[in-house]
Order: sequence, then C-alpha cells, then structure tokens
Amino acid sequence: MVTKNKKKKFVFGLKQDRQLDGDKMNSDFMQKVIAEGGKGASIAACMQCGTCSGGCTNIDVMDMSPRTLILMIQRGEWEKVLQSNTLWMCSSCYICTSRCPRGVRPSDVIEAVKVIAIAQGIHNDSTKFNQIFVDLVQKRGILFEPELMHRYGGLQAMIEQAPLGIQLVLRGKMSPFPETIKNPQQFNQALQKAKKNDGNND
Amino acid sequence: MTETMIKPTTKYSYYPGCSLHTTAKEFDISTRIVMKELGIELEELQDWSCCGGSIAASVSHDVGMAMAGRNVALAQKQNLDLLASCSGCYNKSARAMKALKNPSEKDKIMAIMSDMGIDVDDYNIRVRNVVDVLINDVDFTSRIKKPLTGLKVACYYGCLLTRPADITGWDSPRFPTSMDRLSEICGAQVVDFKSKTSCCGGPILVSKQDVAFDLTKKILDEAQSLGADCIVLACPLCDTNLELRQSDIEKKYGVSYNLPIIYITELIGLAMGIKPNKLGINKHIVSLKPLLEKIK
Ligand code: SF4
Ligand code: SF4
Repeated sequence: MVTKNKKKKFVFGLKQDRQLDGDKMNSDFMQKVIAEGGKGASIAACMQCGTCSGGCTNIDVMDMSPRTLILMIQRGEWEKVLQSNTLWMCSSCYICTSRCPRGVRPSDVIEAVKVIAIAQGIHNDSTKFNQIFVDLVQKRGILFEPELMHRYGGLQAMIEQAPLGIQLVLRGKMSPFPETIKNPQQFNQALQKAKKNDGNND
Repeated sequence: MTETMIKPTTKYSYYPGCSLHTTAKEFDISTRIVMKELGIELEELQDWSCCGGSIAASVSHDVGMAMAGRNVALAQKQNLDLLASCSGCYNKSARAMKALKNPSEKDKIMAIMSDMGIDVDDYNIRVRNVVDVLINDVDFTSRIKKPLTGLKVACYYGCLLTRPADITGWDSPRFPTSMDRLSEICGAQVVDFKSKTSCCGGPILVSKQDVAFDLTKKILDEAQSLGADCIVLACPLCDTNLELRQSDIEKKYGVSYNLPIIYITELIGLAMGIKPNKLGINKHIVSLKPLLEKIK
C-alpha cells in the first residue's frame, strides 16, 4: 500500500491501529471494566476483526468505532476511552455482541465503561439523563415519565411535549398521578447502598 | 430444543412494566384478552417494579441487575413463570435471571434484594415473552375468525426481543421469523422487511434525539416503500419512536407517513374476531382506522 506517508501505518501488513502486543495489555483497566460489566465480557479475546464496527448501528456518528474502543481498553488508554462520544452514541442494540466471533460482548463493555465514566465525573446530556432516570426509578420503583421529562429538560421540554401529553391523557395513557411500589423507602435505601458499594469497588 | 418436553405453562406471573400501564396500554389490554381467549391465565406480578430498562445498568451495574432481578424474585415467590409483553422488560428480566443462576454473580444481586426485603435463594422459573409463548406454545390457527386477507404488514423486531441470543434464544437474532409467522397465521401478507432487526435508537431518544430520529426514519421509510399497511411490533419503546414521535419525524424531514403501528397481540386479537375497542385499538396516536377499513 502507500509507503510514502511520513507515518508508517502498516507494519508487516498489519495496520498499526489494529495492533496490540500481548505483553502491552493493560489488565488493570480491563479488570475494572469487567467488574462493572459482569463476568461475561472477555476483552482480551478481541482479535480486532472489526465485525462489531461493520454492523454497528451508530458508527457514523461515533468518534471511535467499537473495535477501536476495545483496542484502547486493551492498551489502557483511559482518557481516549472516557472522552469518546461512542459511549453516548451507542444505543445498546446488541448487534455487535450478537455478531462478535470472540464473545467480547462490546455492548456490555460499553455499558460498563459508561458506569466508570459517570463515577469519574464525566458530565453531559446523556449522563444527566441516565442518572435522573435511575434516581426516579429508585424513588418510587415505577417510572413517572412526566417527572423524568421535567427534571431532564425543564419547563421547555414540558411545553414541547405538551401536545403529545394531552393526546396521551385523553386516551387514558397517562395519569397525572405517579404509581409507586409498596415500600419505596426500603427499595430506595437498598439501591442507594448498592450504588455506593459499586462506586467503592473502583 | 430440550424444552419441548416441558408441558406448556397455562398460568403465568404477568409483568406489565411501566410502559404497559401508560403509553402502551393497548399492548396490555390486548395481551390480557388474547391470552384469556387462548386459555392462558395471567396473574399480575404483585408489587412489580421498573426493570431499569437499558439505562440502569449503565449507571451502576449492580443497581441495574437488582432492579431487574427484583421482579424475577417476586415471580419465583409466586412460583410461576414470568411473562412480559414488553421486549425491554422481558430482556432485562431474562438477563437478571441468567445472572441469578450464575454462581459468580448471584450473591451480590441477592444481597441487594435482601436489603429490599426479598429473600429468594433458588431460581427455577422461566422468563418468557408473549411472542415466544404465542408462537411456540399455542396453536391458534383454529381460532382465526376474521383472517386479515389483503393486509400487508411489516414485522419489526428491533433489538431486545431477540438479542443477545444467550439471553433470548427462541428466535434468530439475525433473521427472526416468529412475528412473521404469527402474522401469516392471522392471514396477513408479510413483506420482506430488511429493517426488521435494525435499532430505532430507543435508549438515546431523549439524549441524542437527532440520531434516534434518523434511525427511526429509515425504518419508517422502508416500511412505506414496501407498501406496508402497518408495522407490527412488540416493544413499547420502539413504538414511542415509530408511532408517538412519527409526526415529529414527519415535520423534521418534511415527509408524510401516516403509518399505523400495531402490537402483535392486537393483530392476533383482530384476526380472532375480537372487537377493536376491546383490544384497545382506539388508544393509538396514529389512527388504525385505515387498517380496520381494509380488513372489514
Ligand atoms: S467483533 Fe469482537 S473480536 Fe472482532 S473487533 Fe469487534 S470485539 Fe473484537
Ligand atoms: S450496541 Fe452500541 S456499539 Fe454495539 S452495535 Fe449497537 S450501537 Fe454499536
């Protein structure tokens, strides 16, 4: 291929951005990701084939493909992974996980990295929405959507969503009163504690 | 199929979830009436809670697993297989079930549930989706009173009904056919819908609306170009994009769809001759009138 480029992209026919030497793997970061993503993910098994990226729903709007993201995790490139918009563009569609020939489960890896990103204090619209969502489910056990919209988007979101909201109310599909489980306090406390413990594992 | 030996369950612990009590009420209503007609008893899961959707586990893995695990534990307490209609509730419950059977994961989740006051040690119930039960456990061919002859349908599976296969496993994650076959039993004509397993962007609808709208538009575009009279689905979150936000998408891109979106249980109910209003069909935001006219 092209050899005149100043930066040599290929080494013995291997694209450099696909290369990782086994002894350079960063197991600390991988362990952390695995701890958050359950025991299913096997990041080290990724052979950089790119099947995940090939089928990815949102690769067009991602700054780092799922394949590259896995490579960066193998290399322990924390900053690159945590700053990537890939985390927030991923729509958890599981296409990558369903197709990966090595059982890496990229969608679960991304899910786990999102947890770490939030714990690291990354803040954007997506982390805001996700955190409010979980807070509200914790509060009552059952989601009350108008409250979610209000807390996320403020009055403006409420106004924007009002025409749809009215139609839903008219069809008996939205109640002005939230539902709750029998013992929301106990539910909330148990999950608060779990969240704290989860954070402490890092 | 090892499970063919098991006698089909006729009573389930039915988990409606947040959406079926609100924006997807017609899915709830039609599930209950169709299952009743087919002799399958549904006992609502007592004190159920939100499964946490695709979001909870991306804020805290343990919180996500415990939120979903709680419903599985409650169903286990009732000693009945859990049945969910919502693809999301089904998928997350099945995922929690798998974790609760995994020795290296279950202790952590059970400890959180214990703090919630729920102590269940052994898990042997099954987590099922209504589509799975309708295609694999029952044969309602003889119950079709009003075949939907001439109705062209595009079946949309989305993500969580069939992926990942180690959690779902009863239909192909790449070329699922269960809803196509159910629609054919109903007498409908099924179009070859390439978008059937595409993602509509549900989990990022609010935070990345433009991206989700682009994805949803592609699905609506294909269904329209195939001349489908409706899209058939089993996910309230997909319905939010495809139906509730359809007019927003029309406005944004300057297009017009007016494409009815119908839950699989409503379609089956219609073919069984159940009155549309009894199925909740009048509750749709995009009117199903053109579709009802066609099958009159
Ligand atoms: S499909 Fe699997 S093995 Fe291939 S690059 Fe993606 S994660 Fe790695
Ligand atoms: S789960 Fe995320 S990374 Fe995987 S294919 Fe879907 S959008 Fe892409």
